Amino acid sequence: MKTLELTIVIVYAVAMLAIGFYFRSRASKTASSFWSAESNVGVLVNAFALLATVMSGGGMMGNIGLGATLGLAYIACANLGSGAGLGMGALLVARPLRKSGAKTISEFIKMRFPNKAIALLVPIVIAIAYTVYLVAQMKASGTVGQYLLGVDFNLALIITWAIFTVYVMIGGMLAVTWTDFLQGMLMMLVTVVTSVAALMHFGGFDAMINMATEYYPQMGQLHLPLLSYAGFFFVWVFIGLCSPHILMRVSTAKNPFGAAVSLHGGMILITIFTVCTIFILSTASRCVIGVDVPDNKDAAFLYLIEVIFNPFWKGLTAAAIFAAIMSTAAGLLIAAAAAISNDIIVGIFKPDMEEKKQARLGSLMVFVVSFIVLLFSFNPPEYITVLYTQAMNFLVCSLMIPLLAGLWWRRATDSGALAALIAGGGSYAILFFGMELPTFSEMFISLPIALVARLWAAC
Amino acid sequence: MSDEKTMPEVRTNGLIKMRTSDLIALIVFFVISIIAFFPSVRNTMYKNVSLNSWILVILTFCVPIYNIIAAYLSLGKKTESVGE
Repeated sequence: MKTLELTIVIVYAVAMLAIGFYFRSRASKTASSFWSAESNVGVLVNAFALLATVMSGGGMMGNIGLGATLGLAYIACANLGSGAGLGMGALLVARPLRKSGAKTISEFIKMRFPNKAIALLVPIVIAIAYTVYLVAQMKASGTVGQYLLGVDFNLALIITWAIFTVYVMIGGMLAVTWTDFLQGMLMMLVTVVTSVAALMHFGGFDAMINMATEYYPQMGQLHLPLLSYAGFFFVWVFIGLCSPHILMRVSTAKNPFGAAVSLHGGMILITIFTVCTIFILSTASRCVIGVDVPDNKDAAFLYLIEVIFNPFWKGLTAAAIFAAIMSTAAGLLIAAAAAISNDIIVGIFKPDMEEKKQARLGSLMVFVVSFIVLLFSFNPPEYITVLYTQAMNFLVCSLMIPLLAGLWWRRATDSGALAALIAGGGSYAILFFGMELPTFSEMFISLPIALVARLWAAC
Repeated sequence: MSDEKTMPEVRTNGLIKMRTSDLIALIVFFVISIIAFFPSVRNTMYKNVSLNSWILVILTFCVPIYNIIAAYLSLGKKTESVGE
């Protein structure tokens, strides 16, 4: 066990819990306080919170591992897509969503298309996609604990789970937003400083990319099937459009202009973060691991940290990675719990439930969802980034056409939205489980199917 | 006055009208990002990295810059109409 590194991580964890307890009484007042942070969050806080929410354990660690072992062009597609997707979200979704008065995407779709089947299916899609996404985050926590802190994989996983579950349960969206803000700042600090240190260590970008290309000649090339790269990019662009855990941030802003500025600020931060992680840290990690790829590919960044940093910076890096994991996990957890609690239990079965009881129910759902995630996390996947991108691919194929049609097409009908939802999500599931297609290319078939189903049902 | 619309109103009149400039920006974004995957572009290397990645970086920086300019200009228009 590494004492200094562990101490820094413990200090960080205590600070996050303290924030959760600080917001306890305000969060439990009403359902609005619990889910939307009283719609009173400033632009700077929201922008850093967005960075922390979008850039998960995958963004901080998994992407660097993927870039170092499969080439930086591959992961550039995903990360740059997510930055651009937020911009598309600002143009196409944020303004009209805010003006509609809906707090979440499922709430908007439910209000726009008052149909019981849609009201039930949308939260189910969200809950499935986010459970898978959360499992990927949990693997990152176990890996950091194992490699940087010398703690057992499963123990690190359980401790991380307990911390973010407690602060989300008691502090709701207020705690999530403020912890995300601090976590976003920590992630940005560590990424920028580590990038500068890596550039100095290897003698600049040119020397670094030349060395990495010697070890791995396809480092900067697009050498996998083209649809995998294009799919990876466009999945993340579309995730920016219809991802509730990102767009729930919009409902915490003070006004529509503040919501739009938060998105732009978050995008600029994400792009800077992305350029550092993909172009500098992936390349530097490949320089450290050399020709042979390690068994745990997601740990490539941790090898770099081991080689070029002292224990204090290793501890801070571990805290930053935990920050990335917890901030995204918290955002996902609150969105998944909102889907079940707000949209299914209260929305369909108990519409007259008191506000205070709704907040308590939300808190209980946070625990239930996170416990299910923990059970699935003990048997992790090979690449976390691939796993959670597939989960979001499913979400995009199911929700994008109904959402955009609902926002922009005044003649959009309930039956059209339902047909698009079933055709998009169903065809994705069939293609993913039943056919051997290039990774992430399912979307290029499922989205047109959803669109055709939507148009056919509207006729 | 709130600019929030009720859902029945949304269903009959649409939620919000998309600006022409936004529509053009969307088309430009998708056209450039698709061109970035063309063989001649993706196989061209600059500093040992595919031109595709460099184009996507520039494109991703351009999106928020466009949004900030558009938001600023629309804020100016609103202020003018209030002044009148």
